[in-house]
Amino acid sequence: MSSRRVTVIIISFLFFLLWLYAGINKMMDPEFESQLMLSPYLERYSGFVEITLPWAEIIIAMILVVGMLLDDRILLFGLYVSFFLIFLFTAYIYSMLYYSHFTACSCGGILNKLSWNDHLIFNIGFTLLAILAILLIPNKNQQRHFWQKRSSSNLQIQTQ
Amino acid sequence: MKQRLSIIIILTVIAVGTLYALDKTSNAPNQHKNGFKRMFLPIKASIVAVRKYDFSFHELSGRKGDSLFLMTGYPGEVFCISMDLKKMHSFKLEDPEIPFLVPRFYSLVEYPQITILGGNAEFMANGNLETGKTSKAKTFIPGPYGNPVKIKDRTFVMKMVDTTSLNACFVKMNDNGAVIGRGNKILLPLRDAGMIQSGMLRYDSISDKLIFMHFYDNGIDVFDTDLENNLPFHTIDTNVTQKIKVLRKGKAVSYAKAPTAVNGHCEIFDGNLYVRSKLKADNENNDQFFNNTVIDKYDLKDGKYQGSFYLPKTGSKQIGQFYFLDQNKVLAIYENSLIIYTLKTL
Repeated sequence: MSSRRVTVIIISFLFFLLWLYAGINKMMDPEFESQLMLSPYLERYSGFVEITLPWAEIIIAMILVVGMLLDDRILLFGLYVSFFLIFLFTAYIYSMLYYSHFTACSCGGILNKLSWNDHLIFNIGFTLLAILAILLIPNKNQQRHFWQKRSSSNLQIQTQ
Repeated sequence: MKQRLSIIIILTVIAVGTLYALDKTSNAPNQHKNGFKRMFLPIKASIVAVRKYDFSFHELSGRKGDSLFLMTGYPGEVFCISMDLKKMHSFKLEDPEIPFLVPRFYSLVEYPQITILGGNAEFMANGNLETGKTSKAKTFIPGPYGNPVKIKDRTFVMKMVDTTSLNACFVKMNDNGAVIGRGNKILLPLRDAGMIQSGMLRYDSISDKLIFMHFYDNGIDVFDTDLENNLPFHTIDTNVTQKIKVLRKGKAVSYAKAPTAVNGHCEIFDGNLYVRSKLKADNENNDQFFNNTVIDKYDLKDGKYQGSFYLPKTGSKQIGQFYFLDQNKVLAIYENSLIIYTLKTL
């Protein structure tokens, strides 16, 4: 396995852990909705976000694990979505820190222990990792494609 | 590679657009007209000194001559800074070992004496800045308290939350920690643990009055040191109802939604009350309001609005606290910086 692929797999695995942890934590946190209510940006949509966000995070984690195991196209898609979500969170934290009239954090678990600035640095780090992984995934002709592999192996069996 | 970078840029734009839309649909103040106008005084504030530190200051705890005594979030160290911000040294204090004093403590310096109190602490600390010695004294206030001010005769007044009723009230305490007065009529009995009626207490030694400025509505309570005879007035904005909702679960009270503060810090100087308003007037534009911190001036005798002036900002946020050092000089605490402004009448 090339070092390029190892890097992509490590980053994807980190994102898989992050989304799985964040999603489960939000689902199990009874205070999550009331925390969202405290966000000036999300107050109106707290009911919707409370249900969709944890599921979205878990689904992204699943997409990443499927992508890592089977298909680079799925992995690339998972990394694009991961980038979008982590960048959205980063920009949210930045605007809450510098522009919001009230700062409330609805992050769970160990992330809750981080200060807003630490959290911003953490998210910027993950945003950069997502970009790196997206750029390192091999080009189309070098990608692992699950369905193509299966069909080409079938072809070999028929030829024999 | 090109295609992937393009997708990353598109996703970035979508994310920024999403946040912009969330910001525009939020209940943030100043997105709409607030229904009042400001009259600007012919005062121009200029920054004459800015000093950045590795830590942020908690409050200005006292002054003596040209020396300012400032506290950080750690009660064991007091910084003494000259008024031009050029000289600084610190006094170390013995740890009084008082549980629950940190982080919400207040300190009052009357050099060389210092009193540190507040939060949920059962004790207050008395110290001497010259010797560094501290001692602790029990306070007999039946609940958490904050925002203490020292009035005449070595007496303190502070806002307290009664842990039984969850109502907030003002209490008077002597320097032995004994409660010697209680004012139950100033604040409404809202069972809010003092959250709805959050604010800032100040003492005006000239009129011997206590002034309590509300954060979440435009109320200013002015009452005597017997904690009675409230003669309230209002700041110029039109917010008469509190911009805050709380959730009550047994003995726990928490915010139900993001509160919107109407007023920030306030300060008394020379018979006037200066209030850092958080609301934009209808005759201010965004550039003026967001690039400055606006200060409204009120006459304490009758509560009449005198006019407003701006303190220019040095960063993205409004300044935290401001203190009049003399008629024309203002100290501002901004995150980990101290700023000195001079005020010139045009």
